[in-house]
Amino acid sequence: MTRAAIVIIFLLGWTFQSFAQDKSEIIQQRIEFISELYQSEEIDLTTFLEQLSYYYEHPINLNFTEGTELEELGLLTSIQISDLVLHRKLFGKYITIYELQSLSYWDLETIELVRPFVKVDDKLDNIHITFKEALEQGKFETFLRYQPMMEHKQAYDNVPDSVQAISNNYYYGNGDRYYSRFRYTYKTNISVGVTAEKDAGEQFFKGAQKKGFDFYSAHVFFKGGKYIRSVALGDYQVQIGQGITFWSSYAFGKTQDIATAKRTAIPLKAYTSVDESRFMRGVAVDLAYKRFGALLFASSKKVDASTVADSIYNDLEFISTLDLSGLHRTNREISKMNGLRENIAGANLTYHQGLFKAGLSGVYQGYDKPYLKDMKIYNQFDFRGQHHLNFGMDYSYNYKNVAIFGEVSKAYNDNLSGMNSGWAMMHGALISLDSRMSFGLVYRDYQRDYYSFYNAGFSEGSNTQNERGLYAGFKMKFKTAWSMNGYVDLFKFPWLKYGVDAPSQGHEFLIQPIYKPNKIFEIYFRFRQQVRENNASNYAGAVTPIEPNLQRNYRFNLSYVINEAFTFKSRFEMVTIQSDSKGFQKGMIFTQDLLWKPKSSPIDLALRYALFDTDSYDTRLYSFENNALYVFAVPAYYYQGSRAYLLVRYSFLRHCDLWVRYGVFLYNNRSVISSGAEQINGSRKSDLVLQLRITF
Amino acid sequence: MKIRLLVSIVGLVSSSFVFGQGWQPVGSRSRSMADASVTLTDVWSYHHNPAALAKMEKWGIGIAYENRFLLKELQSQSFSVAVPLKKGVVSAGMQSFGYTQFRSMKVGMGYSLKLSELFCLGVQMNMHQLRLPQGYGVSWNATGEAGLLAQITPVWNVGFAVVNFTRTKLSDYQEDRLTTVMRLGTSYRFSKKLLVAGEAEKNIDYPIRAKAGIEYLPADKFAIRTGFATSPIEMNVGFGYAFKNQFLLDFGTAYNQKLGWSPNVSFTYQLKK
Repeated sequence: MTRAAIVIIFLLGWTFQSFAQDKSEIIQQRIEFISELYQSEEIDLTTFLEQLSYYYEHPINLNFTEGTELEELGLLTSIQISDLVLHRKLFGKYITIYELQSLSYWDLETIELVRPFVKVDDKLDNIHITFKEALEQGKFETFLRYQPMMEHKQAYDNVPDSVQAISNNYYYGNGDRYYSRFRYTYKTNISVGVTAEKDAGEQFFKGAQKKGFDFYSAHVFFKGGKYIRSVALGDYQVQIGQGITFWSSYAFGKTQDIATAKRTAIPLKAYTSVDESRFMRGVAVDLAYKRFGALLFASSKKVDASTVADSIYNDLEFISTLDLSGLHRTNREISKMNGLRENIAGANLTYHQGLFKAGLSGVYQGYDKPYLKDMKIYNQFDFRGQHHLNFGMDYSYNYKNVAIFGEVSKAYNDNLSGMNSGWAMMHGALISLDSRMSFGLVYRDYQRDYYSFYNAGFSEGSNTQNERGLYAGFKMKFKTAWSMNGYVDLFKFPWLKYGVDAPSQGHEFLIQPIYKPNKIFEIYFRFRQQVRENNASNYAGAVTPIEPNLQRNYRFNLSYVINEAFTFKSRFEMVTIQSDSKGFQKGMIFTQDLLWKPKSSPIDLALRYALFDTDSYDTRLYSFENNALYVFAVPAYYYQGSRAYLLVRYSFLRHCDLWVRYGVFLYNNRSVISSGAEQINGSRKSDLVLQLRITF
Repeated sequence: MKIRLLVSIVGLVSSSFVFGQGWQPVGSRSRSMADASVTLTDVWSYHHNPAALAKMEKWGIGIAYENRFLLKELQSQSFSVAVPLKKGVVSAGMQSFGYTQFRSMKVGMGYSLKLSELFCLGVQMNMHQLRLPQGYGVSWNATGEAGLLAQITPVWNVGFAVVNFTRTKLSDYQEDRLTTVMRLGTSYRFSKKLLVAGEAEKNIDYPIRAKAGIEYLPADKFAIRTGFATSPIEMNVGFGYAFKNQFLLDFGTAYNQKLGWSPNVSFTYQLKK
């Protein structure tokens, strides 16, 4: 009897337990929401993660924000933000966050998404900073990460020095990866940090890396003044307009969420990642006076490049290739190290009035030696020379339910042929047709001779160059549990590209119906079709013809929050590609994830088991994997085999977190994995991550 | 040479893109929504779904014109009229496509009936004339068309239409028949301002097409429309304006990546409800 009563009480307690979540889980969910938008191995969501975890602890006050902070969250559309700001101006301050439900372009789901990061308060936050306060309330954070080499790779073979000295197939260092980071932050106002990293294969305190780590990055960053909005010293990131003239970090490409078509530039940010080429090194300041703003920045850093001495003019050296990988493992890679100095100086002047913003920008980029890449027909319009200038104009305006945005940019350089002075432009609109439907359009026209080294303009290709296209996307919610996303993109590449020996064109479209009857259960299906033209691999005659390549992706995804501790996720995805010369190929992946995050336990777990079977590397599939904090992985799955990983996080001593992750690929039909230096003999490829974080 | 080239382009285009010999979508409103129009009710429903005409409460009449890919040989003119009777709606329509060396024409009548508030039915008979003067002559054939329209909720409709269910034979040579097209579509009305439609169309000779369209009215009298269809990929955009609430001027264009623009316009008189 008593026993039964206990069971009943237990069960009742179970049922009525609220699904309260802790901070890391809330942020993790949003990060997954954002990372879902990526389809590449190269992602870095550090900034989003930092932004979210900061705003979790210091919620944005909706009664005082002008919208900038809300844009930084990356979770809202600009129409929703201007809706919120306008409503407050018309009807006065908010009393509760649920008042947002009465706004035309907000719904309960959006409110739930941002609720942890915002608050409604009558009082203005005090942003006055004293030194004492900064020291007392500041946060110190240290990361130590170790990723050992698990399987022996060919490049680490023991060979005599004489062999190694003349070969590019052997690495000098060991196969482990070390990473450490130290950072001090005070709210979002002050950040001081140092990051250091050694990649696999690089030496440590030896040879080319006498200073220890191969890559060091440091910054001092201040934000929050009235006239001096922010100042950066050391390594930093710059974002301007829509990413056509200048954008030093990465940005979203085409995603299933139309809102990401519009870039929200954060003029100046501290740089904390380990990408060894995409950042600025120097000084920058962002000033404000009334409605005007001025961002001024200067950067000078060395980049990897191979130098060629011109035999006719002996003393004249020039650069033939730039190497952006940041790896220094072999003789060749080491010889390229810091081969070129890159100098950048730029300014962005902005004006805003209400919801209208406009900016003018100019950026100079120069090298200490001429950069003359090999002349090929396809790349003949690329930048060659020593000095380069970009001028741009960008705008954005929100009017009622319409947000328009765009940028026009012109490039100049000192190229002898004088051909490189192209234009690039993009214009877009996001329209809320109804509270339940939004629609977006983006037109872009980037000329073949437009060039900008740091850019992130909306494009199908990898660069803001040689492309013309029209994108249209929508997002709609029905009154039931159903909603639907989709987009269409038609594009043309007016000039040749690498691997495409003729002007080409293509299209892409995506449709994604979603069924979400409640907060804990969601199913979606996604279909994506893409056609791009590439060189044919079988043909008769002397001229390489191009042929269309059709790719189709089908995905079925289910996620279910079983109870407050367990989350269950399944996914099936299939890809097919077809072209005349390669025929028909397919690939599939089947993943099962289980996340265990009990409320009052210092340990949480993430577990995956996956099977994949693809006909070739071309039919590979990408899948987001859970990893230690700040480690982002969206690996490609290809060939045939299984994948499993286990991630454990253990929090101890109040200030420490330890992540241990072991993952393994077991290939079914191969005895050798990869080729060349990276070759592994065997059918197993595994990885281990150990990471410790100490905060105080 | 030039003429030969032109003829081959026309031949290619008319056979693979434009005309499945027997049916061509018409009316600027429908075209601007990528012809995801099997559930839409207006006088142009004559050419899309005879059942949808059953919802006409007052009479209407319209003319339309389209020029495919800006080629003068690929022009199309059409007409339709619908008159509600005490029971049901009677309608007539005409469409002509081509030029002196190739012309197809369809003319016919239909009858549509509301079986209940939730369900409509329509049938149609059309005569098709195909004229290839250079030695081939003229043919006349009759086809039968039918459609259904069902209302799931007041804002959500499903429609079905079939063109040439009779599988009419054009000539005994190679079993040449007029094409048969089946369409199944749906539309959802978010608000008075916003209508979204989606449709699948199977032409017996070609791969299935998926089509979607949006109609948005930022003001009472002004409409903006856009649409997208696959196989072949086509994008559409169009505008509509209502003069004195009764005269509707709609225009728009379709866009094909390889062949370019196809502007269209229609003028409709629709007696106000």
